[in-house]
Amino acid sequence: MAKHDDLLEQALAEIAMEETNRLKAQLHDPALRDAADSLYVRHRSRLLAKLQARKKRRSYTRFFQLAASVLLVIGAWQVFKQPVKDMLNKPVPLTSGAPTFVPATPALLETPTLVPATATAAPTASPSPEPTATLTLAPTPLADAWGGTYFVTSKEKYTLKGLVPGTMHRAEFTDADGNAYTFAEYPQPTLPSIEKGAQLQYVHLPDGTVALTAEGPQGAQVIWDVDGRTLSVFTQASLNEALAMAGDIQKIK
Amino acid sequence: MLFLLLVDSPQDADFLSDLYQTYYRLLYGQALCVLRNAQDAEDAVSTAMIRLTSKIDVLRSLPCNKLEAYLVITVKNTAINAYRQRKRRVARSAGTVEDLQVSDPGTSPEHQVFSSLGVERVKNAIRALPQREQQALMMRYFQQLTDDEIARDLGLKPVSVRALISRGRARLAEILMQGGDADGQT
Repeated sequence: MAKHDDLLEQALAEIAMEETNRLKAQLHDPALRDAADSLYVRHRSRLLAKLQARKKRRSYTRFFQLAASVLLVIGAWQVFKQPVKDMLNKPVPLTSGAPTFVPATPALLETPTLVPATATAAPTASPSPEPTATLTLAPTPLADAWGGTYFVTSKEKYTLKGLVPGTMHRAEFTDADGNAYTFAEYPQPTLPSIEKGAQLQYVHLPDGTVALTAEGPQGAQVIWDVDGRTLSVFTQASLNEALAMAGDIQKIK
Repeated sequence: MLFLLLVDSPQDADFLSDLYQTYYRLLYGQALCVLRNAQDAEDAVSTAMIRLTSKIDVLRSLPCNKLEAYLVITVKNTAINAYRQRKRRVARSAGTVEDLQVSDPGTSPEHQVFSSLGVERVKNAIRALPQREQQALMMRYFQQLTDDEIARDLGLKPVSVRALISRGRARLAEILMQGGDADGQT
């Protein structure tokens, strides 16, 4: 490709130069030469003024380009200077009023009090803990605030919105698509209320645990028992989303 | 990056002014040869010089003989475009506008043809192309204009420019394969 492009370029350059030589020969004709000279004399000052005006305009635009570049560099520097955000302990302002999550469990219908993550988790520049089989929540304030033993490990996928104290432990999350999730951990085997008319089925979670799923108009719920506790994930998104979060939940203590 | 912005100095305009004053006879002579009209020739040279402000780097890099050829071809193409636009306006007012037909260029045969050829045969084949395709190839491969710049000059969409160039290259390959040349022996 490059080789025949070179050949083409060379051929075109030679054609251009030949045309120029032909034109030079034509300019020996006094009529054409005089006409060209006459045009030059008449329009020289105007065209030169145009080119000079462009120079001034270019110098103004150059100034703005320069200023914009400096601002961009400063902005980029500010962004890179900021510490890496700890997604799990990210201080997220909570919306006022009751949370929108309403799973069909009586306990959840009590007016819960949201405990904002900010109340206990101070922002920190330290890197977040890596998700491992047993997640250790290195920044202790949130780990202390979360009274349960299991928690969502995929910090990149889910953003913690708040913790809800009560007879069970409950945490609310959102994902990048804006879907809301609620994870609940009951300290003893419990049968949480399930939406009436929901379609029930048993599934295997990635670790082999058998879980009960309930899919209804209000959302999808996954319920399973582990270590004498009952865990539940509810989302208004699809059952697949609920199962994805369920697969993300691991023991942290 | 900031340094590059500063290096592109206001002396560009002086450089262009010098070029204009050195080569004015060639520039106006070329425009007059194409347009046969003093006013149109003046407009074409003016337009070409203004457009050349975006090609300062290319101009500075050219040796003298190529530089004057570059200027001449730029004015020639500008003049041809002006002529076409004038003709199109007349045709439009008469209701006989021709739309550009864009077809699939099919570039594969040229790959096999070019490498074994001499420049003279390629030159002859280029001369055998329709003027529009010659012009587009010249703008792309000699003047080093971008698709957008060619589109602006030819009054086409960039996609049509790409098609025009591909078609020109394919036709060139076809001419070369058939052993044709500028004398119309295709």
